[in-house]
Amino acid sequence: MAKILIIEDDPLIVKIYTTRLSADGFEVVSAENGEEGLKLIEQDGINLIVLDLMMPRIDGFGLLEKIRATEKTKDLPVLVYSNLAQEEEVTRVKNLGATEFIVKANISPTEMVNKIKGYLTNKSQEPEVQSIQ
Amino acid sequence: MTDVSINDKNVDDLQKELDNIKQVQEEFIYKISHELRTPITAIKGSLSTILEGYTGDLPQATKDILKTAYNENDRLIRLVNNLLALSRIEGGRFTYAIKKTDIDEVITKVMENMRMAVKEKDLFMKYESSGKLPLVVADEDKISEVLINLIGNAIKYTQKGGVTITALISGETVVISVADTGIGIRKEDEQYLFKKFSQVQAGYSQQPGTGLGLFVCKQIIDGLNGKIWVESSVGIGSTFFFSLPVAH
Repeated sequence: MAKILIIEDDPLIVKIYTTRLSADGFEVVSAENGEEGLKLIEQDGINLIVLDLMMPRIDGFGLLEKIRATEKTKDLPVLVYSNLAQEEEVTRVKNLGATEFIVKANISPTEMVNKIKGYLTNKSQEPEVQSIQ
Repeated sequence: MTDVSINDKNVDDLQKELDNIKQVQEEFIYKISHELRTPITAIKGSLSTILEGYTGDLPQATKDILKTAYNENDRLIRLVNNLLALSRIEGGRFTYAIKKTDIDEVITKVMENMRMAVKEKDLFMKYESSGKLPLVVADEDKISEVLINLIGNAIKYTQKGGVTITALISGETVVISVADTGIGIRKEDEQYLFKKFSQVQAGYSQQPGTGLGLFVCKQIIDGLNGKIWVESSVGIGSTFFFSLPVAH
């Protein structure tokens, strides 16, 4: 089964997602800060990364840059999920190569699992046509 | 304050001060919203994981109470989202990510989200569409916000019956409607509905609210070159409509 890396500094959220993803047979590895996450992206066999933005030491933006610059992870789906969700952040993470930006408060763990399954079976995404102010 | 003589310099200074206050206010709302969303997220995730049975079986009475907590928490999420949207609108920094959108899919997803709230009040919720709909030019997340607000209101102001969502083609637009069998809105109150902070005393309802939801909905639909309107009868129900341009 697919292996999911969660990089998130809130232990409760990690616990909830680990419970929910494991129930669907996913293998879950987690890092509670960017630095730890940086070590884990070198691990073999990761299929998808769930990435928080606000974290101590290296934040999600910095980590996303590293993920996209790392051979093993450069093409992986990276779902950035955060409550720091103003248009500026959304644009910034998309420019850094995030696969999708998800507002944490708006999604339930089951919806997240369905999203993850979607990306693992069909990686293509319709690109945005345009952005207007 | 004494000796207030308004000259050009004063006006400029005052404007600058006002702009500063606005910016501080916007930053404050932004920070507060983030702080509010963190525990709300943890509550939503915990409750839904428990309610869906991933931590073991629960007695029905416990489930019912947890469902109420879940729905109330979702209401809080809507409030925070509307507050954030308002602060962006006020700051003139409300932006859209426009793409060709499958409205059918957006409606289905939002309905799935609201199902628990409908069940709690023992209402029905159904969706009727006129077959295959064309894609529309829209911002999926923002349209979801509109639907969440409209369906949320429909549930809030309906005690018996339910909510019917429809989508049909009308010329070069797709018109989506959210109809309830609730208390309705008086004709003379309709004009205030989409204004900021307006809360009309509809029928017998004294239900509190911020009066933000419909204002935000109107801003979103206006920004997407659509229209939003309402048809309502007191005691029978309200139907909110919005249109979105068909994509080519």
